[in-house]
Amino acid sequence: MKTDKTDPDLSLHPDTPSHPEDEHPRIILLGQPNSGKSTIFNQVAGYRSITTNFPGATVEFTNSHIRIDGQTCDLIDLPGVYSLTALDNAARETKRYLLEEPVSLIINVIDASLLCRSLELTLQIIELGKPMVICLNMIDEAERKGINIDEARLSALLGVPVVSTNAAQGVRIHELFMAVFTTLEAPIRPRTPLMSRHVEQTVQTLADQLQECPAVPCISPRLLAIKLLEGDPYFTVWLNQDKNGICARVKELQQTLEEAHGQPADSVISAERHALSMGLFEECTTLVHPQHSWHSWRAHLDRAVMHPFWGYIIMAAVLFTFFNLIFKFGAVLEQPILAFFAHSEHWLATLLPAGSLGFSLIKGIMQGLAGGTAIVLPYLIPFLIGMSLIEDIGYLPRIAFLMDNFMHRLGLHGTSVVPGILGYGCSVPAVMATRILPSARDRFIAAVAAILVPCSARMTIILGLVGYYLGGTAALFIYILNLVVITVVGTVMARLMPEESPGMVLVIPSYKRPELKTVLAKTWLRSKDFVIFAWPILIAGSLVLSLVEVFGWDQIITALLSPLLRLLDLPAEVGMTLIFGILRKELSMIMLIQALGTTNVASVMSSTQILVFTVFVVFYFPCLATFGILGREVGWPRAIAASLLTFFLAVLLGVSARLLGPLFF
Amino acid sequence: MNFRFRHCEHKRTKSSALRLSEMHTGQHGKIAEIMGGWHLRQSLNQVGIHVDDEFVVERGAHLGGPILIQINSAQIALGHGMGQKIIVCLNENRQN
Repeated sequence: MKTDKTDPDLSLHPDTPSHPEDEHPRIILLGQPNSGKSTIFNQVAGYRSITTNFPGATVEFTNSHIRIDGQTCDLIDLPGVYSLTALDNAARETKRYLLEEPVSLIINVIDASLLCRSLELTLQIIELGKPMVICLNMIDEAERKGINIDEARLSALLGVPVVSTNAAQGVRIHELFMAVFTTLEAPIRPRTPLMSRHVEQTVQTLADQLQECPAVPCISPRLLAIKLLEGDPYFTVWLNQDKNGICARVKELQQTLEEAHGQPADSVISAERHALSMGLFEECTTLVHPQHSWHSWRAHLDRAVMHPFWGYIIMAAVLFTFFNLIFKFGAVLEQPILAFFAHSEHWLATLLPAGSLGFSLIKGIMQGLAGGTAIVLPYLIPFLIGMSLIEDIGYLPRIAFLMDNFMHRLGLHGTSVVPGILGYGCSVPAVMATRILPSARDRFIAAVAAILVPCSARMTIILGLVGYYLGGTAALFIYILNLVVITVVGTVMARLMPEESPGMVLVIPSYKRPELKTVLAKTWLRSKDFVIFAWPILIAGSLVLSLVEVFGWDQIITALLSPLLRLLDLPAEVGMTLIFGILRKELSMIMLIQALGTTNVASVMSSTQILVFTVFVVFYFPCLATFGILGREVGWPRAIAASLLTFFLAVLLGVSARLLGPLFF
Repeated sequence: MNFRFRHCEHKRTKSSALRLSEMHTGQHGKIAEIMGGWHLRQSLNQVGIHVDDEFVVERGAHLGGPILIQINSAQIALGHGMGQKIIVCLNENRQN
């Protein structure tokens, strides 16, 4: 393999200091999606970055200050990218960070079982000219596939330290960071493998010309030349402003490449990189027969799970079992806990005179506690554990594959189902996950669909209120109604915004055994938001509501909301709870208990009213956090339009439930 | 410039050109041409699908659905529309 050992462009660029002198070195984890960057990050920084087994789980960067063996650094987990040519917003975020922020060292995380493809990104990272360490992660998976990698050989070929790890088990993570600190002390310049003679000459010609150009962005001229020849829009924007004739020169050189190689210039460079990666792969690996049992087990499972008929039956069975188990488990816990709080309230009434300020305050706090303990946690915790299992095994991308055909009817494609499924957990990460979609129109439709999906907070209302008082079938009906509404809304939006979707290209990851530690850590990280942030607000909110009642201010709010409540035929007391629902959806439910003054909702609301309330809360205005994220991701006018749409949908469906409810209850 | 079917004159194996979306489960083939613009070429190249790469269809497209292929030791799902834009050489000597 030819390598350039004297390339002048490989020095660190003088305009971008690796890190300010008074700060810690800034280390970034960079690699292809699903290569285990977040797993490595969590191993050294504690569980702070959500890990899943599907490509594109990380859509924004997470950083942490870490200390290993007395040495400190800032570690940054960036969204995965397949190439430095960004095609979606998550990849754009990574690219912006790489090119604009000071970086001391790059840990290139590679899924060792996909070494050949991953090296294509490595070759581009080398062009950045930053100190780097290669981490061959998931080395156990590579061995199972029959790929034995010679670390020393790869290290010699690229001129960078190479450490193989198994991050999920924490194997050799310490060695990886020791290599990082050693490289930081004595930076080693990576070697750039050279492309074939004609392509290399073309790149060098343009790089030389760029070197002389005064307005070149702060990256190596060689990397800029490659990206301009590839037609990367991130750099061609700069090109359009240029007045030095570079634009014409780039077009001329692209033409030369096309004529000489019979392919568009971007394909020529991509093919060169592919050939270099294949060469490196062949030089540093030996292939043996894959471990048969593992290989055939996975193949058999995929044949069933992605079967054109059985695949859908399995998917329906998995999702039905999943929600049914949560419902059964939650209901078992909800009943005794609610009974306990109801008993405590009676006991309180014997101690303090009813209607006194002290009684109202203590009752408010107790009801806030009751809502969290009896309704949210029994459903939320099992849901989050189940969701983690489905994510970590690698079932999500398989659902995306199965749903591609259906999603096309909504004018989207299979990958758009991922934000939708994440939406069952929480709308905030779901809206952020739309960044994995390349088209702005797809992102908007997928984001609207994602906020309509009942998140775990709304799930607690569906299961805790409708499921508990009206039965599992009624709860299932709300989920089915929700899917129908999403289908209709998606179809209408797709018709209003006709544009061809770019189509699905989805890497299906290998199945992985979920790690108990990761599942629990992820469940804790996600539920921490409720326990630490929402619960105190909930108790405080409950307290405020008690005071509002004592001082009679609730009459004003109720009067303002009375037209809506009359339209939905809901008791006047629930007006306040809908206001709290804007803060967080589960508050509507908990406040309902407080507002009605009983833990037995059925004693004051009819079955139809319970159904109407739930349908309204499930569909109306997304919570404030979701609204904020929606505004950031799709723009404020679209976020407001989407929120108004959800409100009108909620009123329409609430009124329909009011009219049709008496036929069933 | 017309790049069509450039790679389909495969001498050593009996081969014929068709669209990826027309292939059936278990068939082996080789990517001959990507009939799309810059964005399509980039999105395929980035996940490791290049002209001349060999692959096997793990699940063919049913009723306009997606197609699943095994290529460069990775499993990749492609939408039906994408499959229609990829011209492949069928390798009839290697069938499951």
